[in-house]
Amino acid sequence: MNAARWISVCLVAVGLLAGTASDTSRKNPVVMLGGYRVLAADFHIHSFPLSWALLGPFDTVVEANRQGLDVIALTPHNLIWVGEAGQWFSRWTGSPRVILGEEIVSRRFHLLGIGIHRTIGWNQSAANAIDEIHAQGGIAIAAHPLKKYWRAYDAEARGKLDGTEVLHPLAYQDPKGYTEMQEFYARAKVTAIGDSDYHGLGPIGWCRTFVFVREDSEGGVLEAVRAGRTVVVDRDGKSYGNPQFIALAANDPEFQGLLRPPSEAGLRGNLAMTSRVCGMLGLLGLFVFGCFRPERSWRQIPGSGARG
Amino acid sequence: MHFTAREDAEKMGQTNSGSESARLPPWAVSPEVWLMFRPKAAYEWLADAPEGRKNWTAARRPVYFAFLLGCFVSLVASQRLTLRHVAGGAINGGLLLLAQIAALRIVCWRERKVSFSRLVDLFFAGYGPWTLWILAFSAVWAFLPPERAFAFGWSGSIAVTAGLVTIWSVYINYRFFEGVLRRSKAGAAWDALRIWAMCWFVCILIFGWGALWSEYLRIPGR
Repeated sequence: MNAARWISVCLVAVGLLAGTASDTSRKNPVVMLGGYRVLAADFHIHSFPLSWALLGPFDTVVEANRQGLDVIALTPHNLIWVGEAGQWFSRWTGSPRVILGEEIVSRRFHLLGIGIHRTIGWNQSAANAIDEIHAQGGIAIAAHPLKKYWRAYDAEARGKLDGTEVLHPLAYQDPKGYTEMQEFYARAKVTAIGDSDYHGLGPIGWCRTFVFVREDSEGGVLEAVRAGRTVVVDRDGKSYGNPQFIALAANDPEFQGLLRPPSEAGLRGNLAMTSRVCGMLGLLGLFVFGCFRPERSWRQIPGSGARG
Repeated sequence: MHFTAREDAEKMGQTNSGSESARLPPWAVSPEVWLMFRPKAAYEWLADAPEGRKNWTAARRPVYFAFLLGCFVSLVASQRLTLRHVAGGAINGGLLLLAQIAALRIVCWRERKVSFSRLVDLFFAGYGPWTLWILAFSAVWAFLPPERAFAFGWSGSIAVTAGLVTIWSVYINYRFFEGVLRRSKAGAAWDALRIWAMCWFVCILIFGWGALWSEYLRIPGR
């Protein structure tokens, strides 16, 4: 049994070493289209603690860099200080750009305030919350606007929105919900946004927005969203957003390169696979055979055979 | 689930009295596995086993479980084990384990029969169901492509399976209080429920405080 335990420990160690060696960041090439710089952005990201997320703010920033995101908005539930920690860290590391935000979570709607500096209360109407976001110089994005939230977005609120999520991981698990988000986008006639609503599961930026900016700055990103200069491409290759930029993007090989997830081919891919397989086998072995040397009495049991 | 160590031993022709020990079931390759399926027998036997080095005894299983949580975070977030994710996840998850230890201290405040370090070790040995759950979800996110993992591992299945595992764990803890601390059936059940209520309370505070009032407690907006 000791041999099985030691083999398990070694497998976990190999998994850890291989995974750490494959943990490299991806820097996107500078892509210019129609005179604008194209940035990959995810405006709906949660961090530990308080927002049902697994990764802390620093780790979230590093992970966004690894997944080739140029801009992220940290959007804790009904607060912003977790985002401030991530923004401080990104200024120190240099990339990606972190914009402060908040997911205003109420019973009737979920709303993203991006580019804000103070917490916005949830106990108000969507239209009032959007006014507060605008008063702070931010943009308001309807978060996963499923049918159950539509009542909160009355004509007044829809008229004030800057954008709405048209692509979200819900698209992969709930076709009805995906259709509802598309319907809301068609009704609201605002900027198309693709967000991963990241809580720590799966790749950050799995759903993302391509923003066409005049300048690579927070102000530049917010201005581009207000002006509707975004493109979102869904799992089937269907594009949403500004038709002019969709047409430009469709024929540009560099833009098409941005759509693909970070390359896991070659040595990096092999290391990642080694890490997955060895790590899982090792952890399973530690569970089955026990990770600690059994107590003395465990070995001393009469007739217990090879146990221990 | 209703056999005691003595009954297990008698079935195999041995007794658990005096200097003789019960023969373990052949499938019980580790205390954790034995506790998952025969918690009463396992806890009675483990409670009689001699205690190891006290300091390490208290820390070893919580530290291992924190490491396991770190591995879980790493596998679901990046589909590999990386030092930064494992370390971060272990620290964040460690808060929950500290809360669990604090809850155990509160519930066993007056306990003098067994040292607290021994209690912590035996209590965390009953984490087999959670270990299995963590390994299963890690495998889903590590090996399936994201679009399939999203379809499989989203909120519904997480909540349902976590609920079932919690019930299984509460039962194991019930046997812990009954077998190790010799509580009555009602006392053991009450202690098991108390400890998990405290743990889930802390978990919801740490992870979900931001939207607790506005959404989960259904306080109406204007």
